Amino acid sequence: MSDAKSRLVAPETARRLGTMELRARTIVEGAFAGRHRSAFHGSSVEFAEHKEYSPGDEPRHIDWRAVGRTDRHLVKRFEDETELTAYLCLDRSGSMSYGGGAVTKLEYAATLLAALAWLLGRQRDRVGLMVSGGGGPDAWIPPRGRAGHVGELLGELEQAVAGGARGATTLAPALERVGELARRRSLVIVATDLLEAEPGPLACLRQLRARGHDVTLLHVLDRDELELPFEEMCEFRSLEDERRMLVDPRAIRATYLERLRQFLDAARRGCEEGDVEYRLVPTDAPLDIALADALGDRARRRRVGR
Amino acid sequence: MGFLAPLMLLGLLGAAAPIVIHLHGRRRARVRPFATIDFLLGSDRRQARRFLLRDRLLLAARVLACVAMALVLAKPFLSCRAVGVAVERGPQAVALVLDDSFAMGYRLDGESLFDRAKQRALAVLRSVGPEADVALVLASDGAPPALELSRSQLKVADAIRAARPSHRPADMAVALGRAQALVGSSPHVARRVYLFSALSAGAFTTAEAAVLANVELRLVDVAEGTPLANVAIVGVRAEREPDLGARGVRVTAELVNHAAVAVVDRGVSLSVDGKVLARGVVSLPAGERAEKRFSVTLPGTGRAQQVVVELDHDALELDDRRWLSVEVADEVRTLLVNGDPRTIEHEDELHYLATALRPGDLGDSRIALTILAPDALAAARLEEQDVVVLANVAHLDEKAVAALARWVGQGGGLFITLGDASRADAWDGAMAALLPQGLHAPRLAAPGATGAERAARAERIGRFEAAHPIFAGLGRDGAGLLEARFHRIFLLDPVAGGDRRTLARFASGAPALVEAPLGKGRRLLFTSTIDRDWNDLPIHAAYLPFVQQAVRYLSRTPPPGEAQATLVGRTQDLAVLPGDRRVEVTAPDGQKTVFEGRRLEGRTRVPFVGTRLPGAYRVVAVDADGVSRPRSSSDFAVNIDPVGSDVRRAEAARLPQSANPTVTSALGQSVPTRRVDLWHGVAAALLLFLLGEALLTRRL
Repeated sequence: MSDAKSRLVAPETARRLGTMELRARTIVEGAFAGRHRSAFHGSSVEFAEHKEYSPGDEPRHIDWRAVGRTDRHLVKRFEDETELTAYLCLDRSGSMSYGGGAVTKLEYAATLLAALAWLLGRQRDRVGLMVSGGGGPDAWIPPRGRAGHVGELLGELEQAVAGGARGATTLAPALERVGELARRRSLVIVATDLLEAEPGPLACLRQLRARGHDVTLLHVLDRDELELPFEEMCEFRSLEDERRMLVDPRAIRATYLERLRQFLDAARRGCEEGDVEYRLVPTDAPLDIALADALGDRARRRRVGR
Repeated sequence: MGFLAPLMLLGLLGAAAPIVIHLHGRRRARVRPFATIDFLLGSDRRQARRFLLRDRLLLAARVLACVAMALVLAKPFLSCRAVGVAVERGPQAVALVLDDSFAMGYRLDGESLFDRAKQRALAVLRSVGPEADVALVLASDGAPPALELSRSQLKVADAIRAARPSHRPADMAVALGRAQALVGSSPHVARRVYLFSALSAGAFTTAEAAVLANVELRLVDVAEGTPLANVAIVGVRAEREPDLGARGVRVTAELVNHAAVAVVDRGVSLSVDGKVLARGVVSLPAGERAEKRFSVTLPGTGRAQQVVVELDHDALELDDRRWLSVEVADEVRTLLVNGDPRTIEHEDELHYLATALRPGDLGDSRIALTILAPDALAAARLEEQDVVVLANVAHLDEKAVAALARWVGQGGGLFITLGDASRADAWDGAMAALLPQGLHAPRLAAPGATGAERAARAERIGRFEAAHPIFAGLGRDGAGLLEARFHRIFLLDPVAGGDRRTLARFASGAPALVEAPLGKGRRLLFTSTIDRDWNDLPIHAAYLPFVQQAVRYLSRTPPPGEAQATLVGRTQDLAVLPGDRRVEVTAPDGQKTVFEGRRLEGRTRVPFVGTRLPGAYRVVAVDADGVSRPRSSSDFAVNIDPVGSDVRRAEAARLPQSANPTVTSALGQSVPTRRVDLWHGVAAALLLFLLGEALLTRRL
């Protein structure tokens, strides 16, 4: 994957785009401009089926014979490349409503997941969506591969953004629900800030991975949260409860950053130990790059699971 | 506290600025919803508290800095009671008059007034500057004159530090006169006299205040106006207390309350040789006098005892104790001069007398007898006798008469009885100095009569002074005195006037017993015999009490009391007796003063001037044989002069003044005040606040 060739879809740019579908398409196009290989398909000797060619498919997999018979550009699909089931999980807790820049973490995460959904849908993969709000699963769209399903899913994401973040983080029940529903080896992508008092989400992700699912954690954090750049006196208020604190950020920056580093290290280490893909995604990062980064190792994986 | 520039205190309003800024800054703190507040709260609770504390410290430092800035500009000061008067530096002549009277030993707030005076004097000395010529003058009575003015202030400071309060009262007139003379002789234009004293009434006893000309006088009241109270024993005297026996004395102490408040039940005791014999209490109204009497029997056998009367101590202890040398007649030492000795005992002139004075030759009567012939009287040590009885003595040589007369003049008692050996011409001639009244001639009561007629016509005592100590024990009826028959008596020359008294007369009106003083002593003349040659008195019951009381009455004892006491600094004359080769006086602190050689030759008295301490002084005499004998009769007590005990503040009219109206004087300033600038300290605090603010800011 070549980042230099992407068009660098900035979050504020994506926000100005009208619909979630448009944003998703723009991001995907930005991420895969000039690329012809599917992000998710590997290679195998055992032919499984044909599918219509779409951008990103390997041209060498075009079955020219079938083209001659059907006059359509059909691509061979092998065993590995059969229909993929993906579960997208969005954390919609109150902490996701923070946005020091152009977009909130919720908007950023939703847009990023929308781009993934659109990409997967275009590949005729089965995509489901779990939105976790305060108190547990907030919305659930089972994975389907029919036409219009992606649009429904993007609509749900758009609705989630519009509804805003709320409540305390309770991602674990949503992930447990995904684990119950995902019977096949599936792709699970979770977008969250992990700002939860309980260590549940990471354990759930490791369990999903242990069941053979391909799990990716998109750790979405705002640049303010990563650097605490404030200079003036601030009264910080919790987004999830009533806590507040009047403090001079300059006085506590070093300690804050140290504790944040410990938090990030713990999250990263927890993912690595459970073979969970971990991606730290600052909300000021271009979305196409974030998307490409999220899919970075996906192309190298031949199979889901194991 | 005051301020030289009080308007600058408006700057205190500036202290509100940091507070306003602080509060304003708090209100402007941006409200920021934040997701990772756990990291802020969890990681920073302690640091947040530190930050909060630092924030408050910073605010306090800034507020205090603003306050200090305003205070510095307002120049605060304190008006306090001055440790000393204001002192000018520069060329000047300065006399430091230090009151070292015993009253300065008064303890006030844990320190003596004298120590305070020394501190004040040293403070003045440090402040006058190196160009000042300074002298120290001590103000106690008899203090040595001051040295010349000196620029060596170290020496003066050493002299001040070495000064000790004396045991004498102050003599301010002399001290101020010396101070004026010292600074008056200086070429300096500025001449100042500083008087460091409690300004008590006892220090300024002259009717008119001392006036110092051309001298700036500054009075430093080391008592700082505090009313001083003192109860003192100002006198002690002793008298015989016959009811308590031979060693019974009644000691009377006179006390004065020099205070504005009454004293109730103050303890007072009497002790001898450190042992308390009696204790009591005394109450004194403010400013009043009172007497406290003790009747005690003195312990021991010595003829003289040092008695101490002592008050429970107050702030001035020195005058709470007073000594008295009391001489008691332990035994009446009686010298009997036998003018008609006989080999047959009952015919001896002294047979009845000696038997009556010392019945059974026992010591019950406490009368010691020594019997001499008239010829031996000249060599006798009369100073060791209390009474001399000349019994029917025909003649004494001139030397013996002179010695006897001198001895009686010093307090001896002489009892003259007559008889067949006594001749009127001899007595009226060379021995006339000893007689209370001249002898005329003997007379027979019944010339030619014999037997019963002789007895019936004999003279009898017609009347006597029953109240006189000699007859006090006989009662109204005379216990047989009136029954005694006198066959022969000596008639006396008629005399008029004089201080003689006829204590008893015969029925015919002729004197029977005549008393007359001689100097400090007493003489008695009995106009008949002391044995049975001329009367039968010795066989009557009245004889024994008569002769014993007569001898006791004549006992040569000076009136006990302050006759043997003097004051500190006064000269005490010591008697020098023939044969004395050395006289030693031991002071209360054990220091001995020795008189010998030329200091004693040909002298009957020597002056002792070493009475520098109050207390008991002991005298020891050494004779030619080198034998040392305590001479208790010469022991004496030395007490402080009670005039200095009045510690109440002297009237303003009695305080010294400066005659030159152009010079300033501290007169009337009972408690001078001094300004102490505080802005230096406040400025230092300001710097500290600014430094603290900088450090706190830097840490942020």
